[in-house]
Amino acid sequence: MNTKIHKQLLFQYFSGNTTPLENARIESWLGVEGNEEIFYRYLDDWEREYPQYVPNKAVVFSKFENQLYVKDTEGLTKQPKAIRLLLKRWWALAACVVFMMMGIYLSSDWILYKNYSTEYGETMTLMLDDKSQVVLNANSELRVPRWINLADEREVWMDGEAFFKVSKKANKRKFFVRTPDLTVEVLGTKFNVSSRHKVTKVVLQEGKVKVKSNSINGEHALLEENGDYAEVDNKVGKIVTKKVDESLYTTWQLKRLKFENSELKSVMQSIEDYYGVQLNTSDTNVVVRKFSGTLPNDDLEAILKALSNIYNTDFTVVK
Amino acid sequence: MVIKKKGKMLAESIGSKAEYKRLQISDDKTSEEVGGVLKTDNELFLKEAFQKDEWLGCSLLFEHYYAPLCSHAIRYVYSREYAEDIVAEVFKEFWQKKHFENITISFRTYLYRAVRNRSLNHSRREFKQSVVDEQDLTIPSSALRPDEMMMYDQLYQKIQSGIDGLPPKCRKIFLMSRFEGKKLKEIAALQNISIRTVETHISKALSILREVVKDNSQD
Repeated sequence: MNTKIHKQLLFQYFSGNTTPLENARIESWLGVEGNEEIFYRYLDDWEREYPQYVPNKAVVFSKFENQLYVKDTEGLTKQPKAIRLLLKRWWALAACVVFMMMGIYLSSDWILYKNYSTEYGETMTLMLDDKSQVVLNANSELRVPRWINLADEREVWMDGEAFFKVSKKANKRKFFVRTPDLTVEVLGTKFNVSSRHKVTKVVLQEGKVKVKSNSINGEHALLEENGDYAEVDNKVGKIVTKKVDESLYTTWQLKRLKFENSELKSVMQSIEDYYGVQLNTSDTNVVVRKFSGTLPNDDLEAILKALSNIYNTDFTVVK
Repeated sequence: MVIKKKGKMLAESIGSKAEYKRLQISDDKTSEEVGGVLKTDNELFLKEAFQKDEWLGCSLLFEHYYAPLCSHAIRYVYSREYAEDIVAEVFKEFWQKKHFENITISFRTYLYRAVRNRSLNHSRREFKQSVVDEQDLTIPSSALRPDEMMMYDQLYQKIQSGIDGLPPKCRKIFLMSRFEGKKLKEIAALQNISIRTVETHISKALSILREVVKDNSQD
């Protein structure tokens, strides 16, 4: 017998309107593999076409959804949501850790060091906890450990210019001044360090210091007498030593600029560094002329006026 | 409804709006074919949805099959509440036990088998018959023999004819109570009879149906 079953026959069957003979046909048809799928397919069609009733889907679905999401006490909660939540928590935790570490990192500097800095035209005299005295020139920075007395070695970082009067402690702890180019190692002494325009100059007033270049094959030099001078150009890492008039490098503390046989160019540079300005002169030949003398360093206007009088040319601030 | 939107989004993300539309429109076209291999667009679409996002797939499945499944279940249990509970249970189990992960038959076949299984057990329990072993209930994936399959149809058809054969008043009250989910008090008020009379009508209807189902299970 041909077991082809029509949609109509199955519909009649679902409605209970088939003869026993037809039922037998359906039964044998169902025995063929794959026909079960078709059977349910038509059952689905039939239910859609002749529904016994139509449920309110929207209400039920939200109920069903809630059941799965919320009321599930069997620990079989909807995984994607749980994972999402977990991920969210992980992110929050990770963010917290990152923020804390950033906080510690940022504040560690504050906890460990005190920073001092001076504006243009301003000097600052500091007394460190170990009784060392530092005079910070204009536009300079100094970083000092907060617990300098607890450390084995005293170590400060300086950029700009400063005069150090390092105290001699009974336990003879070394004192280091670090600049971008070099390190000055001292026991107890008075000296000036200037680190400007990538050149560091060290001038000894009293005592003994060791100057060491920061570059890899850096040289070192020993300054032992008043007026010993060391200059490091970090580009070459070489230390040049010579004897100078120490007062030329230290009178800035007294609000004076002292020069001896300096090119006007470097005089102007000193003024520019101190006041944070750029100077211009109408006569460009004048900059190679030499200058000797002491300028009062209180008032930029007065200095420029004095220089203008001496060289008979205008010195102006570039705006 | 939210699921529809989701479905639309998914269909777009899959790259075929047409496919979504095909889901929306009932698959009349393909249902004209007889006997061929029926892997419908619907099923493919749902499979794709499950691969993308299980929850979305389940939502679409629910959206698509909930109503006809309820309509089928109610033929056995004659109560909206029970029918909807049965279908919800089926979906819940399908989701929680992740049956969609290793399903070899179509979603439709799985769902109808499961609903029919649960419905049968429910009505048997209700009519104080021995319940088919629970194994069958939870694993509807095992294929049934043709006569077993048809037994389900016979059951709901018998229940249907049993209800049709009830005395008119009795049938009306039974349907109001079960099918429409009205309370005894409401029915009493509507029919202008006492609650006690309502109870009598319902228990009469149940005892008749019990006989019907008993006959069926003895087949």
